[in-house]
This record gives sequence, C-alpha cells and structure tokens, in this order.
Amino acid sequence: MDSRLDNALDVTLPRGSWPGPAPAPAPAREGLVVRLRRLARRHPFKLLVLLPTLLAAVYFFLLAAPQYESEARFVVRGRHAQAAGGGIGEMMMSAGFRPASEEAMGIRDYLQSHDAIAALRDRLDLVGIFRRPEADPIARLWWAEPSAERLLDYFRRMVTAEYDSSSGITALRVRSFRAEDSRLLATELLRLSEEMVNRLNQRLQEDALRVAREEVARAEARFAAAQDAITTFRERERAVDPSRSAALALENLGRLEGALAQARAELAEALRFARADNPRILQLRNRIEGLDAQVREERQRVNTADAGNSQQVGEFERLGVERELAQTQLASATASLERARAEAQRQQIFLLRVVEPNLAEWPRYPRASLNVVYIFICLSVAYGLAWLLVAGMREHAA
Amino acid sequence: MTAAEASDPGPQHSLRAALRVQLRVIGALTLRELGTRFGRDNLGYLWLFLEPAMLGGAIGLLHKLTGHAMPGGLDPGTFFVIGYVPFYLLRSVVNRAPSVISANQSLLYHRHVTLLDIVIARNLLEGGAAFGAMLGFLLFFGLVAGEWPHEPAKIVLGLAFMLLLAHGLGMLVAVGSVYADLFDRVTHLLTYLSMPLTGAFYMVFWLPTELQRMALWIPTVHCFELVRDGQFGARVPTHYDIVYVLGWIAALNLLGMAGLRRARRHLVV
Repeated sequence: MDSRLDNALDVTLPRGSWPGPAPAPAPAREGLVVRLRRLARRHPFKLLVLLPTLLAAVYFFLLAAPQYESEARFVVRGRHAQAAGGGIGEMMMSAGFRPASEEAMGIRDYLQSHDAIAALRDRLDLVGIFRRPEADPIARLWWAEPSAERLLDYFRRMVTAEYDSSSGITALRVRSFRAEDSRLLATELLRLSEEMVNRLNQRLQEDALRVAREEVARAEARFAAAQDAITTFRERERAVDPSRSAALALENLGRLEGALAQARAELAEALRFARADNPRILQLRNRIEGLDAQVREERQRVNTADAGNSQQVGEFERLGVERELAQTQLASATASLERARAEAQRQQIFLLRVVEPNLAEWPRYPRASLNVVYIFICLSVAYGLAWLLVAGMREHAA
Repeated sequence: MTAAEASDPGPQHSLRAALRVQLRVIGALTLRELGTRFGRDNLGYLWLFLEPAMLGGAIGLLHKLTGHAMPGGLDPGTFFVIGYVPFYLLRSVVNRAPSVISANQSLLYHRHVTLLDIVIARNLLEGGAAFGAMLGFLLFFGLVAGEWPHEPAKIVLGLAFMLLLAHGLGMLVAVGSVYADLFDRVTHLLTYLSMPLTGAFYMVFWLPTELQRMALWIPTVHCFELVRDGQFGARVPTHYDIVYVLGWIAALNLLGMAGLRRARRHLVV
C-alpha cells in the first residue's frame, strides 16, 4: 500500500524534472516512511518485541502509580458440614456435588456484583477513590461518570474475592492508589458481607419459624374458641355442669324411692300387728302418700327434663373434649415452635473474620518486573511464531 | 504470475504471492492425502467423517444403553459423544504424527513442499473430520432429542483449540520421530494411557477442589470444558481458561515449527 503511494508520488513529482522550489515536505515524509520501513525490515525483533517491552518497562517503572493492597480473610460457617480431603473415594462420593459451602460462594459472588457496588457507592465515593489525583492515567478509572458496567469491570479488576473450598476461607483483596482507601474499601465490603449474612439468616429463620408460628396461632385460636364455647354454654343453660345436675336429680329420686320403699315396708309390718286405726299406721300412710306424690313429681320432672338434659350433657361433653384436644394441640405446637427455634439457631450461618483488613505500607502493585518479563515472553513467543510462519511462506516464493 | 512477481518485487507482494503458493500446496497435499487414505471405492471420502462418527456414536450409544445417571442430569449419550469427538481429533493427530514425515518424505523433492505444509495438510484433514462428525452429531441431537447446542461458537472454539494443541504436539512428535524411532513405538501407548487424563470423559466440577486444580493444569481439559459449555450452557458448571490454552498452543506450535525447520536440515531427500 505504502509502496504504491510512494510510486504515485514519484510519478506525480518526478524530482528534478519539476522546476521551481523543491517540495520539501514530500521527500521528507517519503524519507521517513522509507526509513521506518527499512528499520522494520532490518530490526524487526527490536521494533516488535524490544521496543514495546521497553515502553512497558518505562511505564511500569517510571510512570505507573503505586497501588496498595489490603487483604482480609473470613470464613462463612454454614449449616453444611465441610467436606474435607481428597481421594478417589471422596471424588466418587462427591460426584455431582460441589464440596463447597453455598453461602460462602454466595458471599463471594455478592462481593463482586453490581449490588455490592451500588451499596458501596451509597456509603463512599467509589469513583473518587479510583480516580485519585495521584493515579496514573492508564491504571485509574478512565471515566468520571462511568456506566455501571464499566465500573463493574474496573471494580472486578481491583477487588478480588477468592474462595478456597478446602479450607473454607474467602480471601478478599482490594487494590487502590492509597493504602487508607484500600483498607476502607475492604472494611466496607466486609461490613456489607456481614449485613448480607444477617439478611440471609433472617430469611432462613423466618422461613423455618413461619410454619411453626402459624401452627401455634391456630392452636391458640382453637383453644380460645373451645373455652369460649364452654363459657357461653354455662351462661345460656345456667348450669355449671349439666351432667352433674342430672346425676344429682337421679340421686334425689333414688333416695326418695328408697324412703318410699322403706315406709311401705314399715306400713306392711305395722298392719300385721296393729289395728287399722292405730295412729302410727295413719302416720305411715300419710308419709307414704306424701313420698309417693313426691316421687311421682320427681320422676315426671326427671322424665320431662331427660330429653333436654341428655342433649345438654352431650353437648357439654363434646365441648369438653374439644377443649382437651385444643389444649394438646397447643402444647405440641408450642413444643415444635421451640424446636424450630432451636433448629434455626443451630442452622444459622455466620461470618467469622479471620484476618482484618490491613493498612499496606508498601505498594505491592503494579508488579513491574514480573509484568515486563511477561510482556517480553509473550511478545517473543508471538514474534517467533510469526517469524516461523513467514519464513515458512517465504520458502514457497521464488 | 511470475512476470507480475518479477515486475513488483515489493516485500508485501512477494509474501502474499508466497502465501498463495503455500495455500495451493497445502490444498493439493490435502487432496492427495484424501486420495491415498480413502481412495475412491465404496463410500470414498465420506469415510473421513464416518470414522469418527461411528466410533463416537458407538461410545455414546453404549453409555446411553447402560443408562447410568450423570451428575448434573446430563444425557450420557450426548456427554460421551461430545467428549469423544475432540478426543478422537487429538488422538488421531498425535498418533499419525510419527509417520507423517517418513510417509511423505519423497514429496520434499519438490521445492515448494515443506514439512510444515505436509503436517498442516494432514491435520487440516483430521480437523475437518472432527468438525464434520461434530456437526453431524449436533444436528442429530438437535433434531432427534431437541437438544440444540447452547452456544455453538464455543464448541467450534473448543474444537479449534484442540486442533491447534494437537497440531503443536503432533509437530513435536513428528520432529522427535525424525531423530529417534522410539517415538513411533511409544506414542500410541502414551495417547492410549493419557485418555483418562485428557478430560474427555470427566468434568472438572465432579472432582474435589485439590484434584480440580491439578486437572486444570492439563490444557486439553480446558478444551473439553469449553465444548461442554457450548453444548450444555449453564446447566453444568464448567471451568476453563482460554488464555492458558492459548499459551500452551503458542508454546507448542513455536517449538513444533522450530523443530520442523531443524529436522528438515537433518533429512536427506
């Protein structure tokens, strides 16, 4: 392409044949292009590998702003027993299950989510932290008003959370351009995780207890209703215990009948020995008459009351059974609520800080030498591949 | 052609012309390879696709019929076919590598034919076979079972990475076989023994964490995981690192191509 351009220039501006002032810029540019190309052809390795490596080295060693790292470690202890160790048996056993705690992974994912970023932005100036004046223009956040996605990408570069499933420890590493900023961010993130754990706990407990609580409430309502029914029954029927009053009436009747039978026996006995006009016989006769009348009256009363009374007794007994049932139900519901509460307490997940965020004294990032070496190796390998391919192609020429 | 080259000896033009020649050479070598390997009788070139398809189909059918459950609720037939086809690619490329130079050595008599061309032509053929078989299987699963791939591009990428890995490894084996006959003897044994390690028939997430970390050192595991991610999507967790595979590919191909150039000088045509 360039060569064609040069040729065209050569044709339109044949040097020497055009009179007048020599067109200075065109030959100069041409000379530059030609010189560059000659340089590229003579020293391709220097141009394509050493020069970029040198540029990277200049950036990393001279221009790059130091980045301080703050590290915190925590354990999320869940209700799942941690599966530890390796081995083939374990591998077979765990086929299909990840030997890891879901809660810890949830926290890890949360720490690198837009949710966490939104929560952080509410509490502190996240964009400001990533755009400190001492930050170099390449490593800092490029936008003053970043979109959520760009901020998320940048955030994920600067903040990493790694979950080690063999120890169950999550390591949170935060980088920024000031040591205090890093520690502040790490502390806030830890606090956010703790809040997240608390929210999870609350949800879990509510779920676990809701059913038990509903059961207790239902049992309580039933018991109260049964008690109410008995009270209103007593008020309506004006009887404390209809079965007992019926029994009393029967007892009364029995006693009267007994007395009547006795009086009749005495009369029969007296008639055998005494005359008919004996005052004692008269007295006995009167008594029998009175008792008889009373018995008849009593029996009638019992008979007429019997229909209503047996109904009353039946209802009363039903109410009593209902109350008893409600009582047992309430007792068992209360017990199961207690059990559920204990279970929920036991199943609680909690976040245990193992290592508090530290205040870095020495900037660990960017890792200048390592990065430069990486860049050099990558460029060299790429150059080698390209050289081999081109050389292979050249063998087909001519 | 030659006149045009003579009139314009610019480096870009001559390079482009050379590339054109190389591509033509590779195309011709591929056709030649097809002819010598499959001939024109009965099904002819169709055997190229049928061979991996039959093997993969048999493996898949076997596991489907035994009907054991897979972790993650995957269909065992699909799983094993999807794992077998890239493995077939790796195995056939590496297994044929020791004989690739000795079988085609006489072709080097032609000035335009290089060792790299021969190897590329062969491996392109193997890659085409695997891609064709995979395409057939994916269509089959899609039409019969209604299980279309989740992200076909990832399957293509995984297969391409596998081809490049196998290509690099195959070149190294070919170079080795020029210097020592031992490679010819040992390669088959090694590819056979490495079958359980390559990741063709297990998924990383089945393993406990320590083994996972070890498995992810093996570059082919990443390719298989990539293909599975393309087929199953988020139904099963997959672990792979494209940059890591690319590093392996670059290193193997660099060493392989450099080795081929060296071996060329060693060969007497």
